[in-house]
Amino acid sequence: MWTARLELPTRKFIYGHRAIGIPPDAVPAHSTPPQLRIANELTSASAILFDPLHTNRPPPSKLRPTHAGTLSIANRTDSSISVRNLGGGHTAPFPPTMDNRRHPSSFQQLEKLGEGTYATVFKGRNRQTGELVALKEIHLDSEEGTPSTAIREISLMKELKHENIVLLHDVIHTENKLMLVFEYMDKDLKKYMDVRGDRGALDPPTIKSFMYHLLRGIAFCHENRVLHRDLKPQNLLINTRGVLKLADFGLARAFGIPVNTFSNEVVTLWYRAPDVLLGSRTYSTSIDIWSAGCIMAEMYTGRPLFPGTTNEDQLQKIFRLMGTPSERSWPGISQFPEYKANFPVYATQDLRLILPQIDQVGLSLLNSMLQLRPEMRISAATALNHPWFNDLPQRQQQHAQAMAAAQAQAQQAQMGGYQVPQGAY
Amino acid sequence: MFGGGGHQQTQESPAVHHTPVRPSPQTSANPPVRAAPAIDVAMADSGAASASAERTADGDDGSAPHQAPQPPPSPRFEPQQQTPAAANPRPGPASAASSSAHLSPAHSPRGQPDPPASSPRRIKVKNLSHIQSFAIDESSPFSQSRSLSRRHQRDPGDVGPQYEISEMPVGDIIEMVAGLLTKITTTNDRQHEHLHRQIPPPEGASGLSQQTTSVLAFHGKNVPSISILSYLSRIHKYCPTTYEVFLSLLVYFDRMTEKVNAGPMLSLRQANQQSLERATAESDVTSSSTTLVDAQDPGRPSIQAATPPPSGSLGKPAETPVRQSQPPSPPQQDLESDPYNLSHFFVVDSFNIHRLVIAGVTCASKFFSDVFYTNSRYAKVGGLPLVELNHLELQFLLLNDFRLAVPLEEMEAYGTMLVEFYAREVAEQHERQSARA
Repeated sequence: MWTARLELPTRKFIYGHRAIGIPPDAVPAHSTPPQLRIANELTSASAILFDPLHTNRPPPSKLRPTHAGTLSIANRTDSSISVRNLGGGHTAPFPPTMDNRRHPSSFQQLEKLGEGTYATVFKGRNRQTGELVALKEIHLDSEEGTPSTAIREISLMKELKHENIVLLHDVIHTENKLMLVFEYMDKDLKKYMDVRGDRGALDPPTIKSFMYHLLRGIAFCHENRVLHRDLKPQNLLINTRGVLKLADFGLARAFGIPVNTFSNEVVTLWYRAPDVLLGSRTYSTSIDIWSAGCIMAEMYTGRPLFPGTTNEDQLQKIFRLMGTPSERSWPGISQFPEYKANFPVYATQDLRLILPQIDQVGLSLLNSMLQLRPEMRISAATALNHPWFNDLPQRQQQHAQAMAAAQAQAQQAQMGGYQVPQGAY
Repeated sequence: MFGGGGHQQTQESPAVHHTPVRPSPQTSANPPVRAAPAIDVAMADSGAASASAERTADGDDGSAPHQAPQPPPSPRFEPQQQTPAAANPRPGPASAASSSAHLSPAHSPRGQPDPPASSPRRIKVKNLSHIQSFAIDESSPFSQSRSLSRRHQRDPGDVGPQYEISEMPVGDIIEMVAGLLTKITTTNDRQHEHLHRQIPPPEGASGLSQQTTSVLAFHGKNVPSISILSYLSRIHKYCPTTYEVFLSLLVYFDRMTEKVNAGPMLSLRQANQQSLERATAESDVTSSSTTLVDAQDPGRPSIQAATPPPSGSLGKPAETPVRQSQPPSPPQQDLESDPYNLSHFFVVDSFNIHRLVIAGVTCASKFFSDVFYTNSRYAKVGGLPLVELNHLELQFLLLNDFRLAVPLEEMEAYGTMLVEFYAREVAEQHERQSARA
């Protein structure tokens, strides 16, 4: 994703003379217009830091183009929002004339879909394409300015494009409002379970498919060094084709920069990992996996797995089922800020007792996600290769394609003595 | 307001945000939106220094205050007589003599893969005196590669060691950032007169693009008297945060520069090229003009001709072809279409640096840190009205296309090069002093 460096450095040419350390008077003065000489005298952080006179290190590459555009509102009524493209040529791969064709000039605002603390979501229709969208309108508070949730959600979702992550089409701004244009999704997982489930419980093939989508979305986030930190059924959206996608990145954050302390006030209590409940601030990708495990169990029963009321109650509900950890089962646990020596001691229960519908293989995956110790929890990438997913039609299709490709290549190599180049596919 | 004199006397209570946690719509049992209530403390004028802005995540350095003090009244920004502060990154050679601090190669933290650099060396920098000690130590990798560079014997594949700055005190990182920003503003201030001769009157702003309007929003009439270092230190004192926030400012300023200037710069070079070609066609080719045009092949397609004639024929050809597939910002219309008009360039100088810094810190803290503050607090600490900060915050986001994510490798490269920059300044100062002695 945006960690990749695919392009050659291009930035330096802007400050020609500075960058290559040629004094301006080395250039014949009469042949250069004063404006160019002035512009060449200007400098920037990268021109100084990555001055080739001092270093071989290439200047940072340009930002990759992003799929999400930036628009501004030209006119707005109760039911219609017309926008104009800001022509952010820096990120858009085409000049603004082409961009304008790509972007609609107005949205029809339809019914309200929901209201949160910092945003109101409307259903909308792109008047040009007829495509349905979700319009998330963010209130800009004077005291707080632009909400951090909006800054994170936009910044991260502009970099994340994946089949299992809700697509941010555009950002529309005015002086006192921001509006995010997302692809339209039919309903969230909570509502889906209420409407389609048997007292909330879903059938096993649906659960397997949703879990595969969920883990694919999580794996993509983690590969791109993003923690979601608020996975729960309300934040997983399902479209009419039965595809599950991750949404609401307002609590998400980038990780990977060393020595960082994180807040432990993340993730809705019921889906919060035990290490976070114990006060850890050095958690990482495994907190999203715990949430995924809780969600998997909830899809089987239709009820939340650990519906705690307080931090302590939440821990106790977890221990009652998973067993109370000790220094022996979890070395270092007593060092956590919220650790108490007098935690009630429970033995580990068999999850099958509360999830009679689950099969043996699925149970092994669930158990590996619901490990109390964060370092023992399975990663999203590994979970995707769990045998439980072997009979998933989608997986089988992908597998067959990969096999066919490998076979074709092997045949070609045999027949023509053709050497398959390394990393060819 | 900057340069405007009197400070805001509003009695706001700056609430400290802990985490961007929102209550779940479903669970009433969830924690409250904010972990701590807003603290009502009188302004620093009243002597109430007992500010108890509890933080959920402390910077890891010992120097950072664990509690954010209440902001004092806005600093008065006395307009300076257009005399920007002299570049002085304040390398303190006094403590440099202590060579006890030795380079400690560190392992890649958290198992992150090493960057694909040819050099696997990672050096954990402890603090500024650590840098000072290796800057003047002739056997350090820094000094070795510096002397090789001077003799043009540098191995082109060697990018030098990677300096890991995450364990330095935030105050030390601020000092390096301030040193670099001061150097940039001092250099660019020399062109200020030339750049803003053609600045349009505010009433005529209707013809400006959104981008130019955003750029101009940061430009003050006067230079605030507070130095960049004092300003950054003040922000860190009253709104303590992690080092990435300050380091990322450099990345954002560079991205804004690239986004705004790439197009106009290209037009400027094109216009220059055209006038050169006209001049060459008119007169016989003289020796002085060939130095500039001999690299240009007249048979090139027009897109190629757009390639800047890089300073004489001394360009860096390896870099230019990429431009073709990456068109820069399109030139703006109307008065901005004049390639010789430089007033719409984005130039970090003493007239905009303070506003860029406070807007940048406000945005970056919200993105990077789980601890951040209300805009009213940032405004008070930054010494500008809340409405202005809110406006600048949005312009900052727009000029960054709402993309604040910085790839880890990019952040590490800036950190490493900032250390090298600081070490170069120290070494140069040291050499000047030894030459005098």
